[in-house]
Amino acid sequence: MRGMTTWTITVFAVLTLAAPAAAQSTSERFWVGVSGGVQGTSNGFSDSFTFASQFQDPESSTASVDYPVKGGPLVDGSFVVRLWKGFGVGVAVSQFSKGGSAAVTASVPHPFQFNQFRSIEGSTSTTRNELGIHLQFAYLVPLASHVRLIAFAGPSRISVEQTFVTDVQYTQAFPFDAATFSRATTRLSSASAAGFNGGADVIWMFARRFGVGGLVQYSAAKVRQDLGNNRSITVDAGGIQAGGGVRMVF
Amino acid sequence: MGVHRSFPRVVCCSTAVIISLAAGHVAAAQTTRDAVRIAASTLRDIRTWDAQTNRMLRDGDLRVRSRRADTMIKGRTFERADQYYKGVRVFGADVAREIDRGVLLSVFGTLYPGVAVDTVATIDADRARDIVEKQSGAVIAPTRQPELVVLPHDGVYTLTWRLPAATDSDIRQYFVDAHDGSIVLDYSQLERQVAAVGRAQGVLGDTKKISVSGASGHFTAEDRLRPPSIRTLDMKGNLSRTLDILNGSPVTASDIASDDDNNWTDGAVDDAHVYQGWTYDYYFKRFGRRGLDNHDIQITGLANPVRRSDLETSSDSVIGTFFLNAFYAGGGYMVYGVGLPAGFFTRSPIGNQTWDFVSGALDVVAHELSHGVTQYTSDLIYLDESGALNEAFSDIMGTSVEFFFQPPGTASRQADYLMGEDVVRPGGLRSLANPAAYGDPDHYSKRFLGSEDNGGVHTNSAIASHAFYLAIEGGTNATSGLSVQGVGAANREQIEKVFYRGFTELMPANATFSVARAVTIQAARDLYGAGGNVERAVTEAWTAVGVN
Repeated sequence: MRGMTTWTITVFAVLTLAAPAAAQSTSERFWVGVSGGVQGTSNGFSDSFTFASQFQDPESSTASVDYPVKGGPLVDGSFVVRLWKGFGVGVAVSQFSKGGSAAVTASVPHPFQFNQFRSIEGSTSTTRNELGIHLQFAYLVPLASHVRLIAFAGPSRISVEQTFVTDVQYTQAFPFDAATFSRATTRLSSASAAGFNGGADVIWMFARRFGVGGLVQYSAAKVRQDLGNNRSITVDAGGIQAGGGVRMVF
Repeated sequence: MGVHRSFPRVVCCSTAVIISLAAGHVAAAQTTRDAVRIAASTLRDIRTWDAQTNRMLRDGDLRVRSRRADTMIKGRTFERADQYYKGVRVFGADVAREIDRGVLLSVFGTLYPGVAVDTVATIDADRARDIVEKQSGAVIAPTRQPELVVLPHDGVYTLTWRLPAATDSDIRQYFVDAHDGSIVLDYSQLERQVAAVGRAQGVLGDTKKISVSGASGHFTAEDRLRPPSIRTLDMKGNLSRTLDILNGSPVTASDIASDDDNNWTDGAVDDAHVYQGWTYDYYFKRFGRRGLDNHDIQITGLANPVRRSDLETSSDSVIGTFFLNAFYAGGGYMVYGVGLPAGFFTRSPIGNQTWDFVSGALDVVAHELSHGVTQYTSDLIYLDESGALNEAFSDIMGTSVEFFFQPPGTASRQADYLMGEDVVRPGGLRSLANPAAYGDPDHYSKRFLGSEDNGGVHTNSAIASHAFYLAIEGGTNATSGLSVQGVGAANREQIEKVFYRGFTELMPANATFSVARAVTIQAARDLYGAGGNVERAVTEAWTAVGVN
């Protein structure tokens, strides 16, 4: 998060310094947009790890977890300043949240015999939150008298908060022919990474300073999560995002 | 059975001397990740940590938890202080200081200097209690307030609510993330002798799992995972103590085999303990039987009743009983002989044989426990034909347990129709497939009629156990020339159940071979229908061995 804060400050510093130099050619200089929409990409992933077996068994148990991170609602806010002719620079912030149920399968050893593992299955609820901050190099094109297109691309910083399964509890009893999934221990982990974004915003101005826009963009980053005990996992963040909302021009 | 010595064996031992230095060079501090572990005993280290801890006490980063007078050395006090971060206790971070009239003498502890967390909880204590209740199934009184602590765990610090929850099976300590409500850590705080699974090396050098009890780094050969108490005693070669226990002296904690790291290396103890458990499992899984008396009577095995090195000073009776033997002593007690030292052997009809620790043979251990089953069922009189049937049942069950757990084959730790072949090498003690090779009768007409060995109980047993073999595998009896169509190895379970049912449920105490034939045929009819191939196989087998 500290890295993200520094990054955000840098972006705003660039905007602040750049804006005065390009302040004179047209009345449409600053664009502000707020959109609601969906992130359509499914970023499901799998993880596997070993965990301690019951009774201090010398054989470890292994677990595989499938995290179905499906698409879901998205909120996006952007600010673009035109610097020279149709060229501008901006910053956008997007927030995506989605709950889900992770499927857990594990293989646990028989307490009396080596190499006789029993399979257990279960599930646990998980959450995924993504916060993206996007630096956007934009090009503004007037398509008609009331219609504008803003095409943009640039680097991103995406923070991912994800619930991970870190341990599996199970029950078993003599003669230990089977074991039963009891619950999964989870941990909410967050990390961020650099990525990129690109897309377009089509705006219809129904008033001099107000309009509505339709946004399609793609952002992506690979975020490495450190889960402790020398475990880490890299997850995909972002994806295809689409939405619409209000636009203001100054 | 004579014992023959080929060369002497010399045993050497050495004595380790451990010197403990009271004022030595003990490391002052070790840093593991962020944790600083303090073990200051030199003057320099003590001064350093005295200044450091006093500074932390002044700053409120350490708070005294307890202070009490030393009851053994007058004038001294003990002080314990907990580490705090922004007013929140850091779980597991504390120091213990020994002070003599204001002068610090020693300080030990663990501190976390790198703590950095937001100490304002997002969720409140009531919400944390709800989460723990939901997770544990316990109902926690509102008066029990969770404690807000910084938890160092997995290399990160987390602000958590700490709360114990008791259920009918456990008391667990829960740590709930004070920001997102997830459970960061939970563990049982119930202190008890717990079941543990260790790694054991058998007599033959093989590795297997062993079910034991473990607490505080001390493990004992007491199985807590199976319904009955199954324990193994290490008599450490003390014959006198062995006899005391067999004569009713109570077993003490020091009699029970133990290990410090749960990596068991005494093969005689290990195999006795593991194979007793496997035999219990076989009876349970195959027949639904709960141990020797079907009520989970305690099973106690005695390993190492004598020392091999005492062989030459031992009497013939001791050698025959505690070296070259294993026996069921009644009441769930088994004794496993130690075999012979290297260089010694016995002579048998199949040649010279060496003896390993007899508990190293699964069929031998199962054989002895099966005597216990007989004791609590038919209670076959250990004399003449009923005695031979008693022995036969143990051989039959011993072999069946082998086939249940081991792959068929002729190599070590593979299932076959030999008894004790893994420890009495080569060839074992008896053969169910070919009794004549061991000088035992394969036909009723050849039965031993003398009085030795209680009327030849270990000899004539082969007649019944050979019938068991023929009923499964089929074949021709060498004496009668009669052929048997067995049920086949894939269906051995049928014949095992027939003999188990006949011998444990239908058999009277003074049964003869003829009665054994009748009860097993009846059992075959009960289980698989009259006139079926199982009844036919059993009937043909008894007829082939001359029992009508």
